[in-house]
Amino acid sequence: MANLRLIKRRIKSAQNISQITRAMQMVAASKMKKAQGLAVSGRPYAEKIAEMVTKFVARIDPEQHPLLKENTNGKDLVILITTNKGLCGGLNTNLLRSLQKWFKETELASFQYVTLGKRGETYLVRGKRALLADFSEKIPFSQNIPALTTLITDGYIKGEFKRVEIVYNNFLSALRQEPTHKQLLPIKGLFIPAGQTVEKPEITPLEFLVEPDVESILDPLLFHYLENQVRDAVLQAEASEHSARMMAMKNATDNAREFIELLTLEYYRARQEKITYEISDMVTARLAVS
Amino acid sequence: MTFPLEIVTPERIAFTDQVEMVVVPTKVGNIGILPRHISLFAQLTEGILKIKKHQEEYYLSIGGGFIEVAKDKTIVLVTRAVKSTELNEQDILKAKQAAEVALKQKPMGAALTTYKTLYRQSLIDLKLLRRRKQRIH
Repeated sequence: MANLRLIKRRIKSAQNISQITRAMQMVAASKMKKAQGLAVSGRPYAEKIAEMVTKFVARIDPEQHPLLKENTNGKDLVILITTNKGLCGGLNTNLLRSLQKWFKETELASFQYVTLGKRGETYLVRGKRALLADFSEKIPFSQNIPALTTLITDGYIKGEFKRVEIVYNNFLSALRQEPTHKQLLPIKGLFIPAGQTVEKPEITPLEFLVEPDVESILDPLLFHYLENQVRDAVLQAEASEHSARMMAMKNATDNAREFIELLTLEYYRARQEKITYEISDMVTARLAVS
Repeated sequence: MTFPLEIVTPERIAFTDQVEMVVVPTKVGNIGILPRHISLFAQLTEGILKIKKHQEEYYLSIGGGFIEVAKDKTIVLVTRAVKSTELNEQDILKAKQAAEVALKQKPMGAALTTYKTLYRQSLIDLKLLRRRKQRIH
């Protein structure tokens, strides 16, 4: 019967799909483990250096370094970290949606973009936004960090940017990733959550030693700090990508299995029906003959 | 009398404990920090970091970074920190040789800095290793 063969063919293709998604799930799982380890182990350092810089910057005159001054002109730079490949559930969609929502809240006056990840790039190109640079080609993304940091610091010092923001998926757990945007520059007031007042440092400048001196320490410190913040974002985004992909592939495998079960049931039902028909056919034939 | 010390690298928290003294390498020479040190912020260079705890001395080979001495705690943030007990002479010599070979080919830009750092790192590791050997024998 044609129906039987059709069902069998559908079972076969569902099995093939489940095999592929299972393999992709495994690959994503092993990549996730690695990326997750990096993201989690880098977190204390990122937090410590952020704390250190904020405390340090609060105690000195912001006029001492161009990265601490606020630019009045220039554009807003957004660094958008997405993935190169799809098949990772709603990861990119959620991020881009949050970006869109944020656009509605702020003025769309003069944004410029730098992207890591083709998904974000195509989205921006389609929306005809000013794309300044795209770093999607170099994989892993962590290779781009020095170049990217130089780009933003140079641009900020030259006064091309008023503000630099980084938008990425923060890795909370294998099941949860959160679209996040963080202000990188200007550094001033970066770590004061809304509603909280600035904590005044208890130490007066006189009781505070700096070796070798403030001028020569600021440059490496701020550059290192920015690079680390970018690195943290990239690592978080990478861990998010692999865990989202793993979950998406796991769901796909589960769905395929369920589908196979349903189809198998249907297959047996059809087979039984066919046999019953055949038997009744035979019986009626015999009755007719005798 | 002791004070809390934390040494953090991008990969891990290399050390966290109460210590009696710590000596860190800076651009202008070594700085020794004892309990109740004045608040300090300094840039560190590659070199050997010494920790004194329970009358015993521990050594770490560190990369560049920063130290912050506050009233309640001292934090060292460096690109790398390896305890002298974790060092392996063969590995270091191999790394040093690789760096030497790479430097002979006159690399440019980022590669040059990477190999230069690698070379300096292996030299410091070797120095630390020799010092450890002398103490044991």
